[in-house]
Amino acid sequence: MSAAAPAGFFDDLRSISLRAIRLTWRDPEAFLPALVIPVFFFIVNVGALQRFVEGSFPAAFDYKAFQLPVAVVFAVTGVSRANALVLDIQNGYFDRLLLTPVRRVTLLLGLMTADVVLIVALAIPVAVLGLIVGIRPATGPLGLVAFVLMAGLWGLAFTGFPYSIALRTGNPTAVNNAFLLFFPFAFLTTAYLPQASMTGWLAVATTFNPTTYLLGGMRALLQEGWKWAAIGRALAAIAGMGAVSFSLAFAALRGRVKRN
Amino acid sequence: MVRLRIGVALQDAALDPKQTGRELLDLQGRLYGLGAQQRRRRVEELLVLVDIGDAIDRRIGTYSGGMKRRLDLAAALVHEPEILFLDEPTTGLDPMSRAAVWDEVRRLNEQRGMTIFLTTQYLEEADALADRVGIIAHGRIVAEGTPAELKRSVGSDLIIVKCRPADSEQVARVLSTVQSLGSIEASADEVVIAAEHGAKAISPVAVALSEAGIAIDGLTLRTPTLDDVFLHVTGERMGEDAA
Repeated sequence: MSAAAPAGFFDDLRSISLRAIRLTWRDPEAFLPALVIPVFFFIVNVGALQRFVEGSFPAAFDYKAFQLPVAVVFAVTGVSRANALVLDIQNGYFDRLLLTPVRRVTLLLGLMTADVVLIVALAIPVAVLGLIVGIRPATGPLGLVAFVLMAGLWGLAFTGFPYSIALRTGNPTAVNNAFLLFFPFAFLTTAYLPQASMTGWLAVATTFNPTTYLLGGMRALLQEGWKWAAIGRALAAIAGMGAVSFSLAFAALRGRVKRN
Repeated sequence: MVRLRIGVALQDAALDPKQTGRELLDLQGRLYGLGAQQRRRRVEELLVLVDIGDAIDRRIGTYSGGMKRRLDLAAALVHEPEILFLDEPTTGLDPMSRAAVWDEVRRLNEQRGMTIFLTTQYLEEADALADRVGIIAHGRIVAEGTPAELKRSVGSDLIIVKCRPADSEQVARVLSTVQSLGSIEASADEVVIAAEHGAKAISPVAVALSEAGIAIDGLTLRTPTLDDVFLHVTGERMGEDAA
């Protein structure tokens, strides 16, 4: 007589997460560029603009601290196991998982849990780079932890988009092109200059871009201290982004499960 | 819950190439709620079926097609289902692997009492394994019964006349005049004649063909197979169009 029974939500989540984490480390080519590219941009941006920007603002303005959140956000945004999910769909393994009594929602949540681990692992070396180049967070070590966690939450909130595309299309090219979604979020914001120095349509665009508030909160932790208004706006931006992307992802999961 | 009672091995092995065989079986066990000890026991039991030795701890992406098919079958069996669906489980397997799968299917059915639905294009496989066979053509069941019942529906014995394709129609015409023969079906290079008593009928067949002056390549007598049943009920050879 079989002893099979539904494992339960948390056991399912743990099983799917552990598999995803294990496979993440077997797939270094999938995440190493996410570490190299932001470090490259950080060095180039600081090298090219530090003297110019710091010369235009009060003496205490630290352009390296201003740029570090941008590097971290570049590192963690769009990092996901969506390509691995597409592979599962294409080789039929996703169907095999659906044949088990696994809670469907954990098939996505498990991947997202692995993403959080990877995202934090990517954010830490970039944050350490900031310490190496002389950035000292105004909020101390605890603030640096909050800085990394905030980046992690943002990265997690963004994962819903590539998962949504993966589940809807099952197409790796479409998933790879999901990074284009990040362009307006990354560049129509205060990535290079403070909002106060912007004018015209770009200033208006930054007002409606959640990344602006995320960067504002992270910069507050590094440069100003525990500024709860800025931190609250950053968390609200993350929550808003997460609500939209997760809604799309879980709707896509429901559609995929129904089709199978 | 239906999913707890059924196991499914699809036509294409549905595996994750980046996991090892052992990890995949263990994850299957976890998702079916098996405890650590049960999972270890089941994996050890299934290793006998998978029969890939130390490769069980290598990534699945490095396995041969046969190893993948056997692992896929093992994955469907982790939770010891009551009903197993196998979709062409031996397609692409070498003879030894195929024999291993056949043995396992028999063992599961006879020792565990597992009900197995098996789809196959190899009718000798259905003959060897199945208690009941359904033949599907163009999406409809056109014949159903035990292998013996189905074979009886064709006739007791079959006489096969091998000839040049150009002569097959003439052979069929000549033999239609011979007494005590059943149905006569001509195809490209052979004519298949059903006969109640093949041993008695083969001699008149040979005489009729000789008197008609038709040169033939071979004349054989055999009992019907499920291939003959398929041909009889569909009018097509397996793989031509029906499945």
